[in-house]
Amino acid sequence: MSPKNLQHYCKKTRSNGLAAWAALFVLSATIMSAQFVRRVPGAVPASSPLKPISSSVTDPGPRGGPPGAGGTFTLLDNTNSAANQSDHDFFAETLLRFQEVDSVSGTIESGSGLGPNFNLNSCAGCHAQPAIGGSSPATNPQLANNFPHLDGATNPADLSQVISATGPVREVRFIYNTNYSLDGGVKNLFTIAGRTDAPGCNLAQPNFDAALADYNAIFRIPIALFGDGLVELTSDEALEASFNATASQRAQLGIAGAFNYSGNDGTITRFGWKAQNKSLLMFAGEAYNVEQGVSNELFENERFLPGTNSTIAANCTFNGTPEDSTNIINPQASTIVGGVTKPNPNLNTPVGTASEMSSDVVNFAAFMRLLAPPTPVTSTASQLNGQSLFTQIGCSLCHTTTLTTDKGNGSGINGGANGPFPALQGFTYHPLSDFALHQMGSTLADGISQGQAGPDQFRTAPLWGLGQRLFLLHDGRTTNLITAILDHADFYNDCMQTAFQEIFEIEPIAVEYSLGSLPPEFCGSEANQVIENFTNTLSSSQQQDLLNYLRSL
Amino acid sequence: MSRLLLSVVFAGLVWCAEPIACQPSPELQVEFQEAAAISAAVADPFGALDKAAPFLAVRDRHPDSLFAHERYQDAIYENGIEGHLRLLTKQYDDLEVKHPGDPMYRYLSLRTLVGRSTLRAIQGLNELLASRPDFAPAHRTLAEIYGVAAFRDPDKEKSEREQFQAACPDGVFTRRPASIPGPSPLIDRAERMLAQDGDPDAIVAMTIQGLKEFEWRSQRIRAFDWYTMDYKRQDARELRTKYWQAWPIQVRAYRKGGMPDMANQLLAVMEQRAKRLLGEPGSAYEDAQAVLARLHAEGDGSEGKPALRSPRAGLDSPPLHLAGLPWSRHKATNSETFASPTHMTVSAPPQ
Repeated sequence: MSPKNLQHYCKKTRSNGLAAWAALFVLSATIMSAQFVRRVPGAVPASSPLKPISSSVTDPGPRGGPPGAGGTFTLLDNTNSAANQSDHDFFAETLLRFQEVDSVSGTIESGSGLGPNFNLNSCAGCHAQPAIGGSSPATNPQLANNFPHLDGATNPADLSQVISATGPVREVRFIYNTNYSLDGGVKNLFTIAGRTDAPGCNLAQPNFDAALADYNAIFRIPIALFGDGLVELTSDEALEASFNATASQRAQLGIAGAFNYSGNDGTITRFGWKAQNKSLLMFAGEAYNVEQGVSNELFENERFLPGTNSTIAANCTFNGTPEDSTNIINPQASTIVGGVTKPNPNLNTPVGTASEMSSDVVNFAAFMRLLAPPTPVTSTASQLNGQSLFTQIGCSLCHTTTLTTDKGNGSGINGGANGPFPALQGFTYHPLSDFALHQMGSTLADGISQGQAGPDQFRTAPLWGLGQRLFLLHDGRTTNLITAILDHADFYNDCMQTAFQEIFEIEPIAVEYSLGSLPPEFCGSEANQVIENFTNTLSSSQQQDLLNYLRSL
Repeated sequence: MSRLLLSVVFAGLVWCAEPIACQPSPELQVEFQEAAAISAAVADPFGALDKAAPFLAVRDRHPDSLFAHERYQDAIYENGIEGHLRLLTKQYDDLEVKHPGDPMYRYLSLRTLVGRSTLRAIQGLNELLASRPDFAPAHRTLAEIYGVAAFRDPDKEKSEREQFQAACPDGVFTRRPASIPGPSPLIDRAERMLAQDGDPDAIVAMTIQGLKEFEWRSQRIRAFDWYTMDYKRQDARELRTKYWQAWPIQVRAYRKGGMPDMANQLLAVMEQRAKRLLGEPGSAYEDAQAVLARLHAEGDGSEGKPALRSPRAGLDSPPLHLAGLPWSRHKATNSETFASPTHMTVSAPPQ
């Protein structure tokens, strides 16, 4: 696309030339970095080709019954039973660590390092539905039992526009900074100020009200972690081969897609809402630091908001960093042997199991690695028909049904297989995701860029376990599957220029500027045609079958 | 011995040739006394930087005075916890960078490691003395270190002390480690207030302040390597018992104050915490269970037992759907506003 002169005017900076130039710089940066469309609240596109959904078609709702998730694989080591039991003990220990609750210095709870900013005090608190390792539970732990004021914490900010008692666990990100440079970082809901284990700390929460009023806050909910180890064990080549195999079919439906790649080694990154994290260890390290405020061997710094003055930071720093690290001395009071929990004879010695001597983040990563995928219950005629329709209308072109983990090269010490968990090699699984990024248009766009993922790009959400998920889409905006499906579409057909006008409330002005070369123009969502297939080509009965299938996952 | 004599002679020669004060000037001492008075008037027990501020002001008025720097450092050491100590180290690292090759700033930077990374401090001070054997304050600091139990070495202490005193016969040593606050009396006091039907809000506030003071005391221990790991663990266990003493006081105060919801919320948290004590060494779990049993028995039967919620409780009423896209057409609101395009029918949230 050739350079264009855009005549825009920044409403916010009408009387301030310097700020106007800053805004223009941001616009340029935004346009250069990615394509992002922000929609006007309440607007509905008159041009939408989607047919209405009959009121007879309903989301069956989250499936009851046993979780069908949360455990590990029956076989982790298929070479001998003792090794397999040992692996299961290891998983059980990592599960305990995943449930650890943190306080600031480990005085109130055994875990330490909480804060100075945080969203919750335990991994398992957020990753809880339908079992530990899942997504947001029905009762929001961010409000349960007076959590914002737990242990004397002050946290005076009104969070009612962000979270509710029966809504999803949420994190908040700000799209841009107060000077209109791009932000994108997590702004935690809570601080440790006022807590009994944070004497002297006086740290304010971010100004959520202002950010919300300024359309600057977006939300994310916890991702279910079941089966992620299999994803990690799948080679880039396997992901690319699976992706490339559907290229021509995708093209017919207007679906492109691309993987997010690591800026370090150039390989595919695959974890997180935007596939921004390379590995489960990286995912764990980032979450521990960002969500709970625990510095660790991957993310060694305490997180204060930019601009926090050194006095406040000093008053709110209670631990050496990193707060979580490899254990030279065994800190675990109990141990698990043969599936039985016992007092740990190695407590406070330099001897221990892999779990005991490893850092929390290594344990979290191992826990995720060994979490088995959810067990679907697809069995009824309706569900089975829905399964066929899922492929027929094109959902499976992105929500890829089948992938296989690496087989290894057979030179390892464990019975000829590489890796500590040989039973997981060559393992076929059904994530219902291609783990690639797709442009989803303005309905889902959140304005955040992560790695090569642009503001409206998201990793195809794996649908395994969807049947028991309570809150849907990246921000948990809905509990209703139909809404979630329809929000995949974006028929506004507004493209970059108008989008940017809306992002920063831009209006035409007499300032002309050249943006240089623009990235390829896009309009709408890559999923538009598939959603149109859902609404326009399927009968109500078929639509219901598809919903029933999805809730059987 | 000969090395000692040589260094004393050498140090003496240097100090004769270029006399350096071994103690602060009378004027500076007056300023220190004034600063101490201002510092002592700071009421906030956790206001470490406020207490150090008067000494920082003296230092800023006398930026070339070793004693002014040391006194400011000592003020942080006497009052600070991890964050303050770390800030101090950073400040002196920065000063050392600004004064390359200046032994005073090298020394001051190393001095911030004393009691924190003491072995590194010892190594650095010895390296400094190898290149500047006349730098008497380093001998003084080493003597102080070797006099503390955790790093006690009577021979080295004696040697360093002699070398310092050879240069500065009237020099003064700093007491290490700095004192730590005594146990807070507030929780016991709150317990007595509760027994005397005192103001529930005041009782709760007093327990919170008491816990903070205990935490502060622990922080003053935890930040330093003067104390052994066993001592720190023991301190942490004692602090845990203080929490289990304070929480029941709060529950009872909430009940007396007609705040059963607050009491129940705290009880629910205590229940969760008690479960997590299972497997801990000692009787922590059993003790916690006993505390909870008493609190439940004191309640009216239903009070104190956390209400169990259905796993699907969130679906029993329409969720707020607070803010699909706060900045988009799904503007964040506290009502059901995220609905799909109006021509579509969306079923009610699953029941």
